[in-house]
Amino acid sequence: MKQLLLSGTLFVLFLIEGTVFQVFAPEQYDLEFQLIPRFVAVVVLLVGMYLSPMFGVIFGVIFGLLHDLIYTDLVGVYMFGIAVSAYIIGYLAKVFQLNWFTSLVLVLLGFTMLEFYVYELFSLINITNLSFNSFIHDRYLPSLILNGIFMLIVYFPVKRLLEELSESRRQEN
Amino acid sequence: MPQFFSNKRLIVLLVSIIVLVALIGTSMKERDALTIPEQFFKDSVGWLQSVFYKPANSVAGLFESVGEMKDMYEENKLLKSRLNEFVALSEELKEVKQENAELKNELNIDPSTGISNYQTFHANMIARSPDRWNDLLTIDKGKQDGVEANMAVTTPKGLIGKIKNVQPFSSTVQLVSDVDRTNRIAAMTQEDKNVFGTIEGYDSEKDMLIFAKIPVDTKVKKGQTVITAGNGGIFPRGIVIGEIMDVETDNVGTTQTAYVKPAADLYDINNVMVIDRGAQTVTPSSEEGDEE
Repeated sequence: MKQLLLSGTLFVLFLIEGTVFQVFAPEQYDLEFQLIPRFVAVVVLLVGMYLSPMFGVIFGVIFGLLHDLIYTDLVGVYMFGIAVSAYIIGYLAKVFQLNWFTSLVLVLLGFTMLEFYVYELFSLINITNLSFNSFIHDRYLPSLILNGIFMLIVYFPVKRLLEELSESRRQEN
Repeated sequence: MPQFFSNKRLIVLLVSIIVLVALIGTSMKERDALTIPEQFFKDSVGWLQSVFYKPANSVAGLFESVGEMKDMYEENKLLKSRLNEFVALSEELKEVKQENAELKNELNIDPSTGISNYQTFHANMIARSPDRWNDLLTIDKGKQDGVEANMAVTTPKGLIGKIKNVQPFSSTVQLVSDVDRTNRIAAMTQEDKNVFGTIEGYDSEKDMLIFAKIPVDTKVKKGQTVITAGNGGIFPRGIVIGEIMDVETDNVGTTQTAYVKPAADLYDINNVMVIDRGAQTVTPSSEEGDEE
């Protein structure tokens, strides 16, 4: 039941990224920067940290694949990217005492890994010709702030859900 | 700290990198149509997306119209004065059209096969790719409504892109700003003489289209309007693409490149028109006649 709730939340966030958020995207008000919502990736990273890295990988593969199929032409890019960053962050999380601040830092680190990986890959295969400087200024930094704020908003409810989930999993074993 | 990568996991990682490269390689190839599962996913998610997109869009539209309210009076005055001009213009257009049809008739050209002949149908945008690397839109008309791959897509202001993939109930539009080798449009300017060239891509730093392969001995100026040329086979002639902002001579010096600002706002798209050129059976002789 709780697992269904988690998957449902992720799916709704996935839909919001491409629809509701695009209605209010900053470019149509003649702003220079881009805000890239990575809401699904943020929650998947939290799953990797609070549940287990393996769960992060599973959700990363499912929702990354969905992102690839619906919003891009290339299959595999986000599937691999979200899964691997959730795995790495999930392991790093075991070193830290997790509270809202360390979680924020780790989520932003995971987001950074994902953005840089996608940027490097897409410049390698000529999908983008954006220079590194404008990537940092117009895209990476504004999106970092957006996703940081999003993480702080969803942190407590998502954390409670994940802790209940891991509790019920422990009881089953 | 637990061991970061055991041997088994390292192998899994390496295998998944290989699979990633293989997947990207296969999906980068030019594909005529998507596989059935892909179409199914896109269609069913597309339906859900429209459930989310439409209410959000109407709420945004409400705010916008409240903001527009205060300019309404001024705008109304201006539009009323324009209306008289419009009546005269439309009369003139009617006359010219009739004359054109008569002349075509005399020359024995079938009016339905001209390169500027097309019909349009309307569609709504339901989603947009959130990462700006791929500039793709989803619209709510698909194969069932007669949409086919490579049809031109416009807003009332001008060209925005072409249909990339078609599913039964939705389709994907590739915007002109999508950086892609194959995203090319035959274009021209019409001032005193027709000047032909190709829209070869998008400069994401300047936010302008690159209008290249213009012969060096022709004059293109800032402010000229660029339209589709219609000899690429995909697009009909005469769709507005944008306005020239800057002209450069290539370093070899044989061609010129112009930077074109798209006429349509690529970020404020709601209703789009899909342009159907219909079945084209253009004979070589009529094609040549239009080139001149």
